[in-house]
Amino acid sequence: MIVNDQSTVLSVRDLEVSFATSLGLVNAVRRVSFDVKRKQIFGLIGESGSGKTTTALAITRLLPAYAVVKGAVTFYEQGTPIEVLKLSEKQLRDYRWRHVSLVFQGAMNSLNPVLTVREHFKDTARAHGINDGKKIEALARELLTSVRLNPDRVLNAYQHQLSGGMKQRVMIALALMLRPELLILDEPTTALDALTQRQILDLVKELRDKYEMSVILITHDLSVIADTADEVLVLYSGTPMEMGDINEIFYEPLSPYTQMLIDSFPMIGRVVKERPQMLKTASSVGCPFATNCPLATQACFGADMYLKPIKGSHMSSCIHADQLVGKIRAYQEGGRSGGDQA
Amino acid sequence: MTEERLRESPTVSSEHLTVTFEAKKGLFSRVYFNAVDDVSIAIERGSTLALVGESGSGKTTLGKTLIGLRKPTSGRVYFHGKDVWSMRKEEFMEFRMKSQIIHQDPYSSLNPYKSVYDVLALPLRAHRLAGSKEEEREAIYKMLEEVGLIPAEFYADKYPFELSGGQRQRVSIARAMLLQPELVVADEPITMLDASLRLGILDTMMALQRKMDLSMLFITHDLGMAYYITGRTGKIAVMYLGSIVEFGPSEKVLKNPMHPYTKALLSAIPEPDPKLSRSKQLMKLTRMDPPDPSRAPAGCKFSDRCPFAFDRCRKERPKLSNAGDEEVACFLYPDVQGTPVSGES
Repeated sequence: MIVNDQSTVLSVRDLEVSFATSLGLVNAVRRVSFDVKRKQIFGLIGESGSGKTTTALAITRLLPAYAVVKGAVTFYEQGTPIEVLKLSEKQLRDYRWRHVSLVFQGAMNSLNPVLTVREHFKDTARAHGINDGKKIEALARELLTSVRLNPDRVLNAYQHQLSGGMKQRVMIALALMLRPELLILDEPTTALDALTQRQILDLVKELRDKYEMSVILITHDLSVIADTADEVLVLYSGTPMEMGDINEIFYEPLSPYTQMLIDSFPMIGRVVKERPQMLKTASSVGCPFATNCPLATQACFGADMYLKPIKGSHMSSCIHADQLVGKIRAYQEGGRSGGDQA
Repeated sequence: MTEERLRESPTVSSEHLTVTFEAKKGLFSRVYFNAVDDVSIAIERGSTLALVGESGSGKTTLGKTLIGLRKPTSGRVYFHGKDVWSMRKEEFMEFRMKSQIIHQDPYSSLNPYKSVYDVLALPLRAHRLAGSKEEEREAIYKMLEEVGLIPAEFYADKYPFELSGGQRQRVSIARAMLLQPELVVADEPITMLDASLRLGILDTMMALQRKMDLSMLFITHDLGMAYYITGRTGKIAVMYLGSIVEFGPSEKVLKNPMHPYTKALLSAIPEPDPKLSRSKQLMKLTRMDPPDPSRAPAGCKFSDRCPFAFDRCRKERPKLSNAGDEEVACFLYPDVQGTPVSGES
């Protein structure tokens, strides 16, 4: 299969990740396929253990050696495919940062406490062969300004002198150093307060436009996805449940799991009538949601879980997805004001 | 005080409650700031107060002070109208038994070396509430079932590491409820849990609350969660740098906020609905970064970030005052009183 669509930046096909443990192989990610297009914010949503971070680590080849990775990850450099899973260590160095950058979860704690922000920039630049001090300084200043930080104040600061939101912005600026075509952000707003979270989300959209890059946004928070993503992949227990355009996912979900996720998000002005119940643990065979699903039948426990197109480009792995087509969820007219003058 | 009066007074209330913290700045200098600053609130029997605010606003400190885990620097805490810190020892023990807390992190609040049964038996034994082994077992099994850990015999023998986060939090709830408390402080009890489990835990708590006629202080930074837990009848208090800036019925506060800080928060939170979330207009503050609690402005603490601040806001500190159906501490509302700022900040 050759996809040479100019607009596709990253293509993941039938990605499987399993870990060898004392209890045998544990499947962390099963048959995940998706494409990230140019200038797109691609949302990866899932709860803990859904495999969202593992997927990101597989894309950047950062999984430990005992992980068994199958499938294909293809990065398109100006349309020329690069098979990521086949890259040598030396080639990987070029691929990471230059093509794809990853900002880890808890980025607030990933700055080195004994280095200033300036030294972080220098380190990163030198590791990638940029040795011109003036050039590094200019680049650092430009990037810090683009994440709305004051370079004069931040460059000489150590991490303990910065707030959580500032640290997150420094990490994003660092990740942009080599102008990657794809930026992966793992839970970028978790543990930040509401006003800081808003700034980071707006910044992500702004940087996407400014640098014309693609973003994979990983989160467990449905509202962050609703606010920011163009396309969404929903993962549960390592299994792809549904994928589609942001509006398709929210207003006509084709997986009972996604419906449950939306229903369990408390929202001001919304009274939850039917409370979703998640009492049982995920099923280890077939569809992982089958044990809790209102639509489950015996067939679900033997279902082959991979994404199939159901309605246009909207895909679902649910074998009962056709029953859900046309069940439109109302646009939530949240009864709030805010923003208006007192 | 007569029995009658005791029954009428709120389960817990505070008067000008202040808790001062000391922070070191450099080697020799110290700064003092009020983590809880002149807070007067009351929670009536059977009702829920949601306390919202961002990290560092003093929510947890207020919660702990209300149940006697921390002594106030000044001001008073009353339990059924009785001053907690002038109680006799037996009265104080009774107060501590009747006021319980559910902690945020179910992964660190349960002793990993004790089975669920032992975790739950400990408070019963400490307060000598069970007359016999049989009574103890019965009480524990019954509570496990109440919090949805069924069959109880199965879960009683488990150790925390064998349980999921949601199940652990159910054990924490059972532990708090076993002593038949009258007041429960729930400190972000669902923040660490997966979205799909959260409502189930909240429903369990709300059912127990109704059944036991509990008063509850629900601490959260999530406004949607605060709306859910307070339902149609509960109240909400918005905290900023140790002070309550807005207080009232949650329907009112969350749908028609008065204080600029509440408005800014509501305008900033993303919504689980793409069209709604993307159509929201952010209220711009003069400074978006969170403040340093030890450097709060002298007048209104929000005056350095508030786009509406005027002269009076920097010279006087607004008092939480009645304004319509709510209480608000902001000089944009004509009925709000203030206290002039003295030399200190």
